[in-house]
Amino acid sequence: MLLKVEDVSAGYGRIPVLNGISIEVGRGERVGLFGPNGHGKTTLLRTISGLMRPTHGRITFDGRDITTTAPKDIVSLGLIHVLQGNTLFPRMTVLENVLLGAYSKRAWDDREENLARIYELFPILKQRSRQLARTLSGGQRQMASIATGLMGMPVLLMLDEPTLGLAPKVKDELATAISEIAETGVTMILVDQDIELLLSVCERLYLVERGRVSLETRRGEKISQEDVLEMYFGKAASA
Amino acid sequence: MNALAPILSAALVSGSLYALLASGLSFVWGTVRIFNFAQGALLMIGAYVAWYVTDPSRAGAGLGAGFTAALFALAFGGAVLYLAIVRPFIGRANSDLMVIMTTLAAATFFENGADWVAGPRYKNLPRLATGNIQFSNTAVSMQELIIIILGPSLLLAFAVFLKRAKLGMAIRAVEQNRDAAFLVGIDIRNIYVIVFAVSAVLAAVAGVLYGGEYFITPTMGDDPLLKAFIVVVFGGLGSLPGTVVGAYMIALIESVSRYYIGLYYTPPILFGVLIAVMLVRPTGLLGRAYQ
Repeated sequence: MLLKVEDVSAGYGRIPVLNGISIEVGRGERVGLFGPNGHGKTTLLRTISGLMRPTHGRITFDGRDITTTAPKDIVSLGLIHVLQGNTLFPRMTVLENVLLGAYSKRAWDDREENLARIYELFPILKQRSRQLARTLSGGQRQMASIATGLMGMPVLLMLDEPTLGLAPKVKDELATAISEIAETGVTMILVDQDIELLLSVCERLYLVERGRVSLETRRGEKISQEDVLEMYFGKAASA
Repeated sequence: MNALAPILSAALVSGSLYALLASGLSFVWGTVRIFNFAQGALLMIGAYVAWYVTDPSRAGAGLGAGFTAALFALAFGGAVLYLAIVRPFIGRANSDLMVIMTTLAAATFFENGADWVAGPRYKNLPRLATGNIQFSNTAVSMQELIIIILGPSLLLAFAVFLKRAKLGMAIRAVEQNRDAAFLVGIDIRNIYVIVFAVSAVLAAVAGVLYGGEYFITPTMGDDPLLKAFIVVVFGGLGSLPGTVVGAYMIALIESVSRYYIGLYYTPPILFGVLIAVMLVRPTGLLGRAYQ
């Protein structure tokens, strides 16, 4: 297993959000998380990347215990988290944003090559490279955000709701790009509300409810949209 | 128009000094989100360190050595100040109020310490250069000319560093989005130490320049700190261009007011201008709203 989250609890102040959640992600695997808002998907990613400390449980990445490791050291292991809501550095240019993605020593020397690949994946970013990030459209900002993540040369890439709030056409564009990234063989955790996107990219899904995994699909199992609806709403809804 | 040259030269000299001190305050606010009330005391320490190394009655190593010693001492001192009285409170509830208290306490401690170590006698650094230059009807000393040129040049170099260097980019990243800065692998705690060291160095430069122009006393940093405070609020907290523009505008208003209205009424006039600006633009001239 590349990433193992075992029985992790975490929360904000005294309000618990994660209640003993466990997930596993194998090398090269693409895993989707879905479930209602406010049930801990984002908190789980924030805890894995070290922005939050678990109050209980254990997280290991590539055989190393990273439960209490600082975010910068987690990044330098190649575990890259792209935040929800395309949070960039608003008063910096697109190019500066993307270059900062390669800040860690591991990725800095390869930044020129990676930049060329990223411009190929998102040509619009090349056109906009001198523009301030805050002047981009929502879809472009999301692309820049993912590009920043890719510049860190991820071993495991975690994308938190990359298609949130985007128009259908932009969503499709982004979905294509995410599929292309998935095809490069990078291990991926994808959180999204768009089940179709999850099904097209991921081999396995976790349903996260009330801070824990309430259902998961097995490896190699074919999943359809109906199966997912059934997981979500029970038998009656899909019938 | 006989008054124009003296008013302008006085405004440029104090503007440069305010800009140096206020940039440090504003820079610390923008990145660490705390207000450093010990910044004036750092200026004072810079002046004393330079005096002890320079003065023939002490080390007598000359002004060049004194200036250098002040820069290194304050880079180190700024970092230690952060580690000792700021870092322990970062991330706690009410950390901003706690840090107001700890930096105020540090300022008092340093001022009384200076009084105790150096004694009450006024001290003076030699001038960086001697001689005068005549501008229309006003003689500007070489010292003043150096202040007028050195202040903005240093801040320009600082701005270029922030814009171009990898570390400069990281500092701006921390200022703009802390979580995202963490997630690209920036060591934010180190950045805070660097930010404190750099702003202390700016204070040290201002201290050495003040010390050659005015007297060195334990409370010499109080008035500059008050002016720097007015400047950063006026220009917009966290904005380097706003701080520099604010510094020269405040210095100009002060200079005009001193000439035509007098020394006594100038501070209330400065505060009056500040309040008027706050009413129209609560974030200052070029500032942004902070949460």
